[in-house]
Amino acid sequence: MNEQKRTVAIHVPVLTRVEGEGALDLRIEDGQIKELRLRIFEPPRYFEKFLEGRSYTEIPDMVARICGICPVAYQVTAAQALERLFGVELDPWARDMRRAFYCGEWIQSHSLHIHLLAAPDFFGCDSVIELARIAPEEVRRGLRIQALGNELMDLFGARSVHPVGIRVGGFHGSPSLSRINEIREKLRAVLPEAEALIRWAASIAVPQDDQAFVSVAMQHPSNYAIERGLIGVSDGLRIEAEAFDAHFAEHHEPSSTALFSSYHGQPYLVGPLARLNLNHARLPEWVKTLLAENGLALPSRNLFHSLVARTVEILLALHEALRLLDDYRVPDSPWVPVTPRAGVATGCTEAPRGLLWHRYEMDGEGRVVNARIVPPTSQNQGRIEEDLRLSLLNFGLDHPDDALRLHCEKVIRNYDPCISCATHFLRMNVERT
Amino acid sequence: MNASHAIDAGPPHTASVVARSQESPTIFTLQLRLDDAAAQAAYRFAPGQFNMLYLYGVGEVPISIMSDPEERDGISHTIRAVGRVTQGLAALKPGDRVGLRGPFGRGWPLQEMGGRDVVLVTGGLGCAPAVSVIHYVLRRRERFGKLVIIQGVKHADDLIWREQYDRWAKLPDTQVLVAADEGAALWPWHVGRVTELFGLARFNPARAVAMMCGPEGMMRVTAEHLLTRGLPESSLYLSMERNMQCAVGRCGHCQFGGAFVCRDGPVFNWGEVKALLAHRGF
Amino acid sequence: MNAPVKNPVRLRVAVHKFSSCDGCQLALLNLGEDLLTLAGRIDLVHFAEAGPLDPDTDVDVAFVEGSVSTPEDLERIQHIRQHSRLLIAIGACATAGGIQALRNGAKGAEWVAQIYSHPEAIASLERSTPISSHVKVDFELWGCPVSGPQMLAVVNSLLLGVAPRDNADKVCTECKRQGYSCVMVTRGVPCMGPVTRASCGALCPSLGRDCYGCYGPAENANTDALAAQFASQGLTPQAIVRRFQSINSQAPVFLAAADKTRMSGHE
Ligand SMILES: Cc1cc2nc3c(=O)[nH]c(=O)nc-3n(C[C@H](O)[C@H](O)[C@H](O)COP(=O)(O)OP(=O)(O)OC[C@H]3O[C@@H](n4cnc5c(N)ncnc54)[C@H](O)[C@@H]3O)c2cc1C
Ligand code: SF4
Ligand code: SF4
Ligand code: SF4
Repeated sequence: MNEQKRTVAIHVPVLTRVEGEGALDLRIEDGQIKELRLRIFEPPRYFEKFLEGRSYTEIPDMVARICGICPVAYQVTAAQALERLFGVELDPWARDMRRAFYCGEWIQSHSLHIHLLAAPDFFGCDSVIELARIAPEEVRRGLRIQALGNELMDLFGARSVHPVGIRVGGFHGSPSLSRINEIREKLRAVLPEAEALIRWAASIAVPQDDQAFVSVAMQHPSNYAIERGLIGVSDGLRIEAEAFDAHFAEHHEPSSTALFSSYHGQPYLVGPLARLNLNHARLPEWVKTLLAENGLALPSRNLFHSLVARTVEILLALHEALRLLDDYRVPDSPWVPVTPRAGVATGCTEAPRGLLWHRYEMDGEGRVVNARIVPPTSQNQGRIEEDLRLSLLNFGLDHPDDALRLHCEKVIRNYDPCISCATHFLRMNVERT
Repeated sequence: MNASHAIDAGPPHTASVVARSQESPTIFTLQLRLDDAAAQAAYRFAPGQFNMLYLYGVGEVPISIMSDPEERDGISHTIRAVGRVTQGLAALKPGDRVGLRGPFGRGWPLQEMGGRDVVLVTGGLGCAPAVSVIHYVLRRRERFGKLVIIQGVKHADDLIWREQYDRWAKLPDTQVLVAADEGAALWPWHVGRVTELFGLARFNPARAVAMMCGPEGMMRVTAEHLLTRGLPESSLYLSMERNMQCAVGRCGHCQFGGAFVCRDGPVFNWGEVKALLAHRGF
Repeated sequence: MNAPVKNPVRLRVAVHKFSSCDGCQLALLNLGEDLLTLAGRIDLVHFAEAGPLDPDTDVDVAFVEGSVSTPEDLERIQHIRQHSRLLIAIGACATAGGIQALRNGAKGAEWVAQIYSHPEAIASLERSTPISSHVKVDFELWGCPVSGPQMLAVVNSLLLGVAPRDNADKVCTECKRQGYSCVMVTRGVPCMGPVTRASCGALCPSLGRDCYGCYGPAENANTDALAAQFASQGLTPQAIVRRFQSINSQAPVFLAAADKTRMSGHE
């Protein structure tokens, strides 16, 4: 096949089950990858521009609209960055509940990704609906866990897509004790199911792949970093959010409407596997045992372990939410008053798909002068291309186009790319000469 | 209203369609059973009461209960498809689900009927809420005097339950008078206005109780006739229809003067509403 | 809507995405186990985010999320229209251009140049527009996002062959029904509820905060009175404009209200 002299251009719809649209151009010459480009057609939505002039009070509701799957990540990151600039000290209640709220999003987003987007691949199915025919119990379990994540978000935000509960200074309202007790029962009841989910995910045969890459994730001295911590890199760097620009750079490739990020000039990984790679020492002993039993050694150099990494984070988030809701009390006020001040607000958190970084230059009235948002997917873009290159070579370029395509899809889906500013149909153009 | 068994203002209970029959091109009957067996067993209603039937995401409408009050394993409704919800109900098949709240409202004055002649005057689908009264009377025939059933329809094809009318007409002490504004081939009954049949009705006005259900114009004319024949006002009842939303007297949609049709009706004594009925379109 | 599907054997449904955050599709993907029940009642012919990919087959109903914002979108929406008996726009993006329509008043090209170093590679229309600006839309479901119950209500209506119900009432009516105390009356918080379309169940007032209008304008919305109310509560003309120019900025009623405030308020 690689002896062919003619050029074959094949248009295959590739990326279903990702949020957005993209295309992959693959050019194979004499059995060598000559060109590999991931193109993301994201009709730009210009969030950073139209945030200009908006009041700090509007930001959480506006930035939520960047992504329907992880709105809480955007809301919490923005609120915290502004709170830091304004010198707001949150009530400990609000700090804890922000984390519990965020756990809900991890649970929801990870279960959605695992069951609706990624797992069908590994069972040769097109969709979760097909998968439900061969693995009904597993799919139902996944949908139940996803629903519980949504419920946790409802609790603090009244709905799970673009929740309306967060404000700069805390929350608008606080759930009643009876609702908390109800959800605690449900969280407790689902724990064994989440453990079974880990075992199931670990039992799914994935390609063996071994790659060297840089992992970037937040780290916290006392817990598994979600909404607070320093930015950590697998080479040992630890920095505050403010220092992001000194080490990370964004640049625009003409092929894409998302910006590419690099760390000291090289691609890097963010997301569940990067987090586990950097923070596995923080895992409770019993989780370590569970992982050892299931044959997952950390740090891992196989991106296909992302699926299991998500299941581990679901279990962690469930436990974390339970812990945070223990001894719940209704606060006197769910928020503290805020006085805006001019300056630069910077912050980051761990969105389900990885590090999310925000920077707002604010005027004295609390209005945005200038905004910059670096979402996880653009950070992963360079890494996805690199991964495709390496794992395709590992897989073998002699495979028929269809097999190549399927393999590329699987690789791309490991990153759960949220190109939601995009429209559909990732097309893969394979050219062989 | 049988308060102890009423499923009232709360969320609807689910009921399954057990059977469906087409009575005319636009009229159909649904036999329903509450999914909760205990709730079904405990369900009681009085003839003349109604349920709220709910189609998820489509809407909820008041519909009279036409089944026999003694029947325990089903609740029947005869419905004319006129708009969104009733057309949606028309599309249901056995096994499909609806939401059901009820029974609501005040039914026919059965306790006052004992030993008296019973006169039922209905128009169009007004016969539906009257059918359960007929069943009630026929089951306890000895306790009542004469039974007069008068039903009017616009067109002969609109008459549903023809065999039942035929059957009732053969019963002793029972008179059936049916009229259609427009007749059809083989139409055995009167062609013309139902009011033209009133003269044929045989009952004792002094000891009769009369019940009307149908278009308000028809009910007004009927009432005038019955009153001129000497029926006391207090023996004359009618069932009213108004747009309803909540069925428990909260929303005000069915307000009729000082009364709520859902809670204080739909059955009223003539004296309670005659003043308002005199105003057309009220 | 004028052509409900009469008792189709099985409803063939497509879900299409244009410029959006994906949040409205989640109304389906977040249904939990009900998603499988739904899949048992309809055929999901095309729903790229959930897997099935077949944008060319004729369907009974196409749900369209997102706004038209690229040259390619212009062709795609025509194609979808031609292959769908009913086209239903879901969410603020599809019904009003979405939050991204905030660029409509601005200089799109300048913005592109400020964000991207290869602006020539960015194919983007000057304006982000609702689906109804381009093709006939049979029904619009407002909200940012639309909710699962809203979507199920539409699907169930179509399965029964009747037109879906349009709830164009105001958020205030839902707020009253739920018995929430009014944030505007009791705490002086400027609330968009009086002009915002119902269906969310008054979520924001349930948390004691103001509605910010994510369901778009209600029928007979008295924006003049609300703008006057906001002004009497101390909002500057700019702040009032921002209230109307947010998630549903291009909805004609909100656009007009903002313009009027700008003109009278010497912004
Ligand atoms: C106490 C009570 C008992 C009732 N019992 C029954 C019953 O046993 N069987 C039954 O079929 N109906 C009965 N109805 C009437 C039924 O409730 C209405 O037909 C129904 O609410 C119409 O709802 P829809 O959504 O289908 O029509 P809509 O969409 O609301 O209305 C569609 C069109 O039909 C017209 N319309 C509405 N109602 C009627 C009507 N009653 N007659 C003629 N045109 C109408 C409207 O004006 C409109 O033009 C009863 C009503 C009440 C108040
Ligand atoms: S309307 Fe709102 S929730 Fe729906 S796609 Fe657009 S931005 Fe997302
Ligand atoms: S709180 Fe807002 S939505 Fe509720 S009644 Fe008051 S103004 Fe209306
Ligand atoms: S109250 Fe207003 S802003 Fe809040 S969810 Fe409802 S429509 Fe949207």
